[in-house]
Amino acid sequence: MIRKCRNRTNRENMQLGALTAFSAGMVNVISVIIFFAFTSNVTGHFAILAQEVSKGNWYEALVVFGWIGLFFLGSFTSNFVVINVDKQRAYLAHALPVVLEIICLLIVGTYIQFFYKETLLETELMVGLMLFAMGIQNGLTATISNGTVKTTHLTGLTTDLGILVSMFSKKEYRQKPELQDKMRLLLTIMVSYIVGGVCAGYIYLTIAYNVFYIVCVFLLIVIGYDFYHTKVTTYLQEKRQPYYRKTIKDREPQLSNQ
Amino acid sequence: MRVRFVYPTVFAAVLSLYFTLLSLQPSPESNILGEWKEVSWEYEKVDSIPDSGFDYHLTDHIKSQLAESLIIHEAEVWKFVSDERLEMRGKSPAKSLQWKLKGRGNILQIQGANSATEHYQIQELSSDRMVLHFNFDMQVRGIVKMTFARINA
Repeated sequence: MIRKCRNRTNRENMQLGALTAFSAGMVNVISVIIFFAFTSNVTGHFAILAQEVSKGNWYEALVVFGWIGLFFLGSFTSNFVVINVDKQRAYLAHALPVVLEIICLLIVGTYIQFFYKETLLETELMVGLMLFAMGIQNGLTATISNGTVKTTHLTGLTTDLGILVSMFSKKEYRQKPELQDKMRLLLTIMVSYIVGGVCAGYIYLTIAYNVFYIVCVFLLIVIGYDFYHTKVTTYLQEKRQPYYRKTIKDREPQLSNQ
Repeated sequence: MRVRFVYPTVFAAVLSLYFTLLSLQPSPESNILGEWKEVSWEYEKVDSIPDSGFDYHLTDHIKSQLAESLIIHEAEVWKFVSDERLEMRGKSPAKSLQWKLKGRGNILQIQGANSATEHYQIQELSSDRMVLHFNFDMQVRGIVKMTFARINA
């Protein structure tokens, strides 16, 4: 699911999109409930930044600038890890940003549960950390899906969906499999994001801050799925092969007429 | 080699500048401290506006009806103390509540007895003026704008 390759299937993209969009939807709603700030997108923050600057509220403007910077830094970090970790360790390179995201969300969840005094500084730092986590997620999904999947905000997605729906008014486009795949992918992301948000709002009423741990479980599924497919499956396949097949497989092919 | 030098330098420069500027600005948590007197209650947004002569000021009758179910009921002077205590004086007996700021300092959370919580949006906060907005859905759906003037810092 988090492997970067040129021939990623639409199914892989849908799986990745569904799980990460669900997580982002949950994080965004929970941050609005607890902190009164959006954390999965920065478009609104850019508008707020401009508004605060125009009002001369420099403290608020700097806080919002810091949040935008952390989202940027998250995206930078995830792609930096992906392109700098040894190519032989592709799984590690792609799993590491998700692990970082999980750590950030665990810190936020644990801090809120045990230490949060509801001061403004704490609120600003928690929102910043969540924006950093979402930046990591968005950067990673965009990198590994070659820009196809972006799951933390729906502006571009809604635009693409509008374009696609209008294209589908013509039969020639409607019958194109790649456009149908794209439609399925966009709808999956959109529905997952909304369902994640609704679930977070609903779950928060019953289990409060534990929502963060649930998001972490979903992200663990993302990296666990690929661990199973890349490591465990390969290991099992190798183990099941008889000795002579493994030996032959490792040798250079020999031409019979030599 | 050059990139290895440029990236950390730019990051360090941006961070230093950012935190220097931030440390020079007073936080909304300190700006709000002091005593504020209620000046006016007005409609900021209403569902529909009558054709002509609409007075945006709320009458005392509507104001008291709106505030009846609110923690801030009949409070005219609000005193924000640094230990997150909010003392309110007015027509009704003085009361002590809890205040907190949320978001980027744009949401005022007031907590009363029995953990009743209300949220007000801080629209403006300067050295002598504070404007709060709050949504209500009694009688008419809309937003009320409360303006305060500072009495004491």
